This record gives sequence, structure tokens and C-alpha cells, in this order.
Amino acid sequence: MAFLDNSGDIILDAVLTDLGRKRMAEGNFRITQFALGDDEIDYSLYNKDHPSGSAFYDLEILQTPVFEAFTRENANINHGLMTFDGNAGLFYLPSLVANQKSGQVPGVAVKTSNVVYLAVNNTTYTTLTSGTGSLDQNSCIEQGKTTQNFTFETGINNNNDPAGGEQERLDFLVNTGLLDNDFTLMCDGRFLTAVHPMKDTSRFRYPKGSLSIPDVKIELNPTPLAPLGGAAGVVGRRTYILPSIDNMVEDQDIGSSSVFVSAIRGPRGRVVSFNFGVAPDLKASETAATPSKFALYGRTNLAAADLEGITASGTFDIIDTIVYLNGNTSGANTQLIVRIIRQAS
Amino acid sequence: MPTQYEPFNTSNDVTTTKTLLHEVIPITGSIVSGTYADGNIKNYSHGMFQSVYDYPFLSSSANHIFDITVGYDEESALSGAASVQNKKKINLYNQYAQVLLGYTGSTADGVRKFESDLLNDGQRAMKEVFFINFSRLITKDQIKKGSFALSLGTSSAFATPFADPRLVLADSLTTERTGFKNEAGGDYGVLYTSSVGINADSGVGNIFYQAGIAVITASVFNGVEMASSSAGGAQNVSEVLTGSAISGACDALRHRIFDLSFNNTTEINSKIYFCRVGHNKYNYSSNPTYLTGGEIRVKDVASDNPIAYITTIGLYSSTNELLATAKLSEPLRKDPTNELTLRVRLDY
Repeated sequence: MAFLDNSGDIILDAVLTDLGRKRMAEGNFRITQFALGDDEIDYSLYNKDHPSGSAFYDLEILQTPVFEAFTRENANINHGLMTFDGNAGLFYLPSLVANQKSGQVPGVAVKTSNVVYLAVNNTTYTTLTSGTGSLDQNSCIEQGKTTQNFTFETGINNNNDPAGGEQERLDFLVNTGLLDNDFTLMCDGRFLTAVHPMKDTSRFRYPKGSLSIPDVKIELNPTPLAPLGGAAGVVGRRTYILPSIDNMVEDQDIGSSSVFVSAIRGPRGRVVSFNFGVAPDLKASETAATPSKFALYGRTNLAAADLEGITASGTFDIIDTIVYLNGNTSGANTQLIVRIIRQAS
Repeated sequence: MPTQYEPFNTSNDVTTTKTLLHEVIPITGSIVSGTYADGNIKNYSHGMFQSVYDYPFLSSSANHIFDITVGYDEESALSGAASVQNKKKINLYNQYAQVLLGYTGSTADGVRKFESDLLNDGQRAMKEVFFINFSRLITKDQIKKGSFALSLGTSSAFATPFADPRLVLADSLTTERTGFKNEAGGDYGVLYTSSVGINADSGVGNIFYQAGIAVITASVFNGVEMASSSAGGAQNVSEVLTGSAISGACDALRHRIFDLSFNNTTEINSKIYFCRVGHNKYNYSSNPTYLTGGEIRVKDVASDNPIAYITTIGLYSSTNELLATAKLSEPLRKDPTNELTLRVRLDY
């Protein structure tokens, strides 16, 4: 995709997406709203120390070349521009952070070399988490299991500035309208065919005070969510709206960080948890033939030495797939690489 | 994917327009006959017409520019069992006539004949004609009225077709508003030749604008050596039409084309979406680089204005499906001190 000519007047290069053409062919082409994006922009280029003054702070940003429009639906606006009720006085915005506190959050998924292993069946899970497997019940998640979870938190993660107290939560998140009641999860439905959301009976609390004890309970619903309709233009993509609960962990900076419950160091917003179910054809046991998707989209018959963090004997098939998670109010977003793993022998 | 969308007000933010785009199409006669030693001329085994390309047609770079064929009415003096491909020439005339002009309603002679005027009264019928069908690739939606000109060499000698002043056939009396008629094949005007003065009697053909078809009476070549036969010597136009196959008659016409030109027309229907961004809207970003820690990078203190930079506009359905995308050629600064109206035009 070429860059647009930015040597003269500002021009607009407009194209229909693949999905737009499909909808036009079906007679369902109706545009009702717009959104704005800035995917090409690297805000770290904003130089508040520019020696020539404030007029030059964004010089490099304004010189950013812009790509021509893509026709693929998911390749244009990944991170949209935001409005927060016309409030121009915000200084902090929440982030979306994966919780990795395996000691305090039961069953939470922990990354190994930036991926989380998702076992396609119990045999694979048992092999990987047994004594010689070297993974455990946090670094390896069994698909469809409601006692294990991927957990993410929103909050102002700024090294406790502002602090993570109840008042700060009100001041910086609740009263500014930055609490995300629900989240959008996008994944590749060719591999991940079910998403188990959290129940509203879940709790994520740690009241202020050294004598308090964490009150954390993550319960997932065994009934998977139904994906949203639409977005048929992107092969395999499935979109889910996930519920969340309040993150009521307060001022946890007491004692060792090893006992911290929250991944956020600052005012905390919401917690969202879920687990995946994988496509039925990926669940084939090690005695069955290797499912073709592993050869098409991943790698097959890998020894443990080829896989980070695994020492178990035997060989394995893997597919790496990226999961996208967005806070629907604050726009906070993150990505997670899920490594779907199957014991092949 | 974005999480915030701005609805369009369909009465104020969306409008439709129609624009006619014209291109000049000049075709030099040497392309039609000479430059490629007929490597750009395709004849078919059925022998019904001949195709002209702008480059040897075996090349993938070649573009089809027009087809040529000939025909005469069964009432023509040239019609006769002894004429070569007599039936095909009659059939072609009738085919063009029925598609472009329609039927008279009479059972005796049901198909209308081409006439050198706009009256359709059965007078001034052109019973022996050459047809030039222009490719949609170059005519696009239609030929612009009043722009067609075909320059023919009418010197009598076959070897020097362009020695005398050339005969220019043009739709001189047609404009976008007057001088044409609408029939079954769409709008058509009359081609006149300036050599005898432009008047109602000087029509020598028709030009069908939407169909992209020129109909030229064979009589413009009266007194002209149309072909040079090694066996029979020079042939006039009647002899070519009766004694030659259709491809031979097409060769004879190509030999006499000096150049031709017209303006084509592309009708562009556009929908314009005015994306209005108020001063207090879209001043923040969910771009991962927008924050350092939890702080907004472009601010030093909370009272500083937030700033975002727009590079992309997504147009969405009510179910948040991205149907169209527009990209700005450079980032556009958005902060609470400015309001923007971004005009996105989609052409159909």
C-alpha cells in the first residue's frame, strides 16, 4: 500500500471496503455513522522539549506519511479517536492490563515468553502441567475450563500516581466517565469458537488496610456467549461483548509486591475475565491424525525444546492466534497472543 | 476497532450529486490502417465483422477500440443472390436497424431504415451503410453530443486516399440539448459533411450516442476507388459491397479513415458525507502510544488542551460494520480550539 501524496493540499482518498462492496451487492449498503482513527500516529514523537518552542512540538507527527486506504475491514481503524463528554481536562486515561498475579487470583492465566498456552484437551493439559511438564495451572489453561481464566483490569497504571484509593477511583475514573461496563473481544473463530464470560457473582476486592485480606473470586459461566452478528467481511473473525465487574482493590502497596492482587498501580476500574473453547476439530487426541489447521496455520510435531517453557516429553502441534480486547467506554485496549497447543505424541 | 461513533444527520450531513466527466478520444487513422501492418485487426471465422485494436491484438497490452461491419437493406439495389455474403449483409443491416431504431409496425417491411435526417418518415433512407461500433472501454457511458468527427479520405485514387481535401463527417447540428432524437437505441444525431454545406439534405450518417455506434452511408464514397483488386482492377464502393466479403469491405473503409475523434462521457453519481467534528469531540485517542504510564503524552498539566491527529475516517453501518474508508493525505490536528468538517465523497 503506497503513501498518499502529502506535498500539496490535503486530499481524501476514499474507498469501499470488501464488506462495503458485499453489502452493496446485497442491497444493504447504508452508512449511518463515522469514526475517526489515527493508527499511523506515534504520539511518542510529540516533543514537548523542542528547542524552537511549542509550535514545533508536533512537527514530526504532522510530517507522518499516511497510507492509502485499505479495503480490508479490520485494517483501517484499530484505535479510534475518543470523546469523553466534552471533558478537555483529563490528564490520565485508563489502560487495559493483563493480570498475572497467579498467587492471588485463582486460575489466572500467566504468560510464558509473551504467550499463554491453551491446551486443546485434558491429555495435553495434564502432560504439560504434570511434574515434568514444567507448566502449571496458570501458565497453561485448558480450553473450556471455568476454573481457569484470562483476566484483565482497567485503571490508571501510573506507578501509584495518583494512588489507588477509593477517592481516586471516584475522581479519576467514575466521575470522569472512564469506567468500562463492558468490553469487546475479537478473536479468530476458526480456532477459538467459544468464549465463557465471567458471572456477576465474581468478586475482585481488597479493602484498604493492612489487616484486610483479598477477596477475589473469579467465576466463569459454563454457557458460552453468542458472538455478535456482522463483520462477515473478515474471514473467521468473531466479536463478543463481555461483561465485567468493579475492581475494588485499594491501596495495595503495603508489604511485598508479591502479595499484590492487582496488576494496576493506581486507581482501578473494572475487571473482565473469560476463557476460550477451541474449535472441535482442534481437540483431536494424540492418537488421532493431526488436524489440518495445525499444518495450515501453525506448526506440527514440535519437540519441547522448540517451545518456550516446556520440558515435557512428546511432540506438540501449535497455532498462535491474537486476541483483541477493547474497553467500550474508555477505549483502553490490549492484545494477547494465545498459543493453542495439542499433544501430538 | 473504534469504540465511539458519530451519527450522520441524514438531512444535513449527506447529499448526492451527479457529475459528467468528459475525455477526448482521438484516434489517428494510421492506427486503424498502417502502423501495425494489420496486426491489430482481428477477423473472425464467422466473417460478420472486424475488430480494431490499438496494438497487435495478440499482445496483452492491446485494447479493443472499435468494430467495423457493413450491411444493406434487402430493398437495396446491391442486394442480390450474386453478392458475396448477401444474406449476412442484409441480416446485419436489419439487426442494427431493429435494435437502434425499432419497428415500423407494418407487416410488409417491419424494420425501420436508417435515414440521413431525424424525421423517420421513410424518406432519405440510407440502404447501404458502414457501421462502426465503438468499444465501451473508450465511449464509457456515452459519446458527448456534438463532439463526434470522422475524417475520411475521398480522393478517387486508391493509392492516395488522402490527397484531396478530406471529408469530415460531424454531428455539427447536435448539442447536449437540441438536434437529436431518442429512439429504441437511445439518442442519435445526424452526421453531416461540410463539403456541401450543412443543411437538412447533407446528412450522411447517424451517430448513436449511448450505443456508441456510427452509421455511415456508403454513398460518401461514390466515385472513389475503394479497393484495388489484382484480378479485377479498381473497385468502387458498390463493387466492394457486392463483390467482397464483409472483411474486405471493412478493409476498404479502414483504408479511407484519416482520423476520428469524440469526447466520451462518464456519469459519476456521488454521495457526499460531511463528517462534522465539533470542538469538544474526538480530542483524545485510544492509540497505544497516546499514554506514557497512564498520562496523556501531549499534556504537561490537566489544563492543557488535549490533542489528537486524524489520519482516517471510517464510514460505518448501524451495526458498526466498516463499509468505506477515507484517508487524509497528512495528519490533521484536532483539539478543543478547532472544529472540522471532513467531506468524504463516494463515487458510484
